Amino acid sequence: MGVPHRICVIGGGAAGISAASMAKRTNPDATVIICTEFEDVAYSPCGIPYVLGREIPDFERLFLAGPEQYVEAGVDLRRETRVSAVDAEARTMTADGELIVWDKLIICTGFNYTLPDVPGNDLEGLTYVKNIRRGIELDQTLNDVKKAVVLEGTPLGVEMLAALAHRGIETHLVDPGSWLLSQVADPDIAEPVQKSLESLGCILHFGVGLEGFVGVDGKLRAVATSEGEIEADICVVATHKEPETTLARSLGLRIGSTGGIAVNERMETSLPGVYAAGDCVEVPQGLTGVAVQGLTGAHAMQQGRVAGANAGGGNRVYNPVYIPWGMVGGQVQVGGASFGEHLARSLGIDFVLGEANGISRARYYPGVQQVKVKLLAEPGTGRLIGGQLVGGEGVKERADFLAFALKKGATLEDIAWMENVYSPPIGALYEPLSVAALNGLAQL
Amino acid sequence: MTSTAQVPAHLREYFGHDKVALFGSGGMPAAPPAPPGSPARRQGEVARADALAKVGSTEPRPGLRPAALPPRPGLSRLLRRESERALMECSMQALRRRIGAPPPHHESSALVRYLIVPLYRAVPWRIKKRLVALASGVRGWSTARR
Repeated sequence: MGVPHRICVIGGGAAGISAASMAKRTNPDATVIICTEFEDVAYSPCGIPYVLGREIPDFERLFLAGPEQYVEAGVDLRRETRVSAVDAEARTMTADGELIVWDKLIICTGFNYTLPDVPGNDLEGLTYVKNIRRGIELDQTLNDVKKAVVLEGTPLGVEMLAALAHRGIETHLVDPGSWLLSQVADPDIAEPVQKSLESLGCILHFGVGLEGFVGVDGKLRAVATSEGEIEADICVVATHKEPETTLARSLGLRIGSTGGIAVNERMETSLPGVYAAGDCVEVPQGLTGVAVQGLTGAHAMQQGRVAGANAGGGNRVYNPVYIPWGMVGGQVQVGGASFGEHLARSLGIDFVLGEANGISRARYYPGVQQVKVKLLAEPGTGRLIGGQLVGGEGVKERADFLAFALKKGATLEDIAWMENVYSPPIGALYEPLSVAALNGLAQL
Repeated sequence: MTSTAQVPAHLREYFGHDKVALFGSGGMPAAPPAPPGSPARRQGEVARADALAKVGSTEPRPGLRPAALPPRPGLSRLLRRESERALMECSMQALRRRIGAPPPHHESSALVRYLIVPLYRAVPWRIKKRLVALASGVRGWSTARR
């Protein structure tokens, strides 16, 4: 269909792989090249904590495709190939010394964890969960680990707390925030997760600052905090996802207020013919228009698809995000979309709050679980601005639904009077979201 | 297909109802991993063997230390980062008592906490909303709804 041309993708994560696949699908005549510095593509990094925690039996299950499948699809996949330079004028890039010409470039360079700027941050024993082969190595190392510290209660931090505790390791959390997941969650939403992790044996230290890493012979011995030292054989660094923008900066691409590459709704950067997607970019939040970065693998994949389609000659648009999120912390599910009370207060957004403690199934049905819901809406109009949930089951689907409702501008009135599934084993007569919305209506 | 016998007993109730993928449920089969001999499974086995051979090795390999100090921030990023941090700390301070949580460890500068936060708070949200969106520097998005 399109004019044959050469599309190069830097990065082989969720964004890079989906960008390349979509570019090839959109323009089958194009030469599509992916360069990744890593050994593997097409696996689920999000599954790594669950293999480490022995909930998934082996790492092999995380692989979704083999490299030969990309060859069959006509994609030139170059693994362990590092792109060291890109020339925008000549439209070339240097990959392991080879000069590769491109007509369209898609940058999907992902993220690095923010390295704590404290003494001892180069000690052996500081551990990162990102790449699957290093994850497999870590799995072996954990056999000899007695004590561990997880640095920061981010989503990965929460998953690693459960995984390490599950391995029988004495596990501490060090977090400067007042509660778990305090970058997104409200305290009353996070509290059941904290209790669940504590019941697994995790020791949680909140409101604590990191002062350094203490080592002996180059190896970590303890983590120094504002409340004293915590002995540790390893420290899992689960800090903020800092966008990897070294190449983007060298190209002179516009960088936004989060530090991510600024893109438009077609995932085009400030340089014509250069696209970007995934954890290295920032996109606007739907309600405020404020740029956000470091979202989920699902966001990275969709952004990659849009970038790939457009680089292949298509015309796709990525929408502002409402950020449905969800996860399991300990044995509790937690999630939400857009603003919770804590974030809304932080930004100074006015809101009314509707809360409900509902149930996931008919109250008499075995296995029924509590589902706590908080909905936030604009005063006056009742338009939703976000919500959060915590419970034993049914959180993910409600978070997805909330994000869609937010995107469509739904109000508390809409949610209060919505239809819902009622079937004793899977849903109660009163939908918890509707009850929360009804309670919110009374506050308008 | 995975049988329940292959899963250690202590794991079976770990997530309870969410173990459907592993065990199958109600006559629906378990979601199986890529079958033996498939390209995905083979790649997984190659990756595992290679990684196990490198345990304890000192040779450099990709993804060993995927962490970096952030680049020196420009003014807009610096202002946003510091303001966000201070605003969230103030919100934590206000909400923490609900669950008896400790105060946050202050990582924001006192200047931002005591000067910019009160100024920011004094401005009504409808005005702030435009200011923060403008300061955020998002361009080229026709689909932003509000």
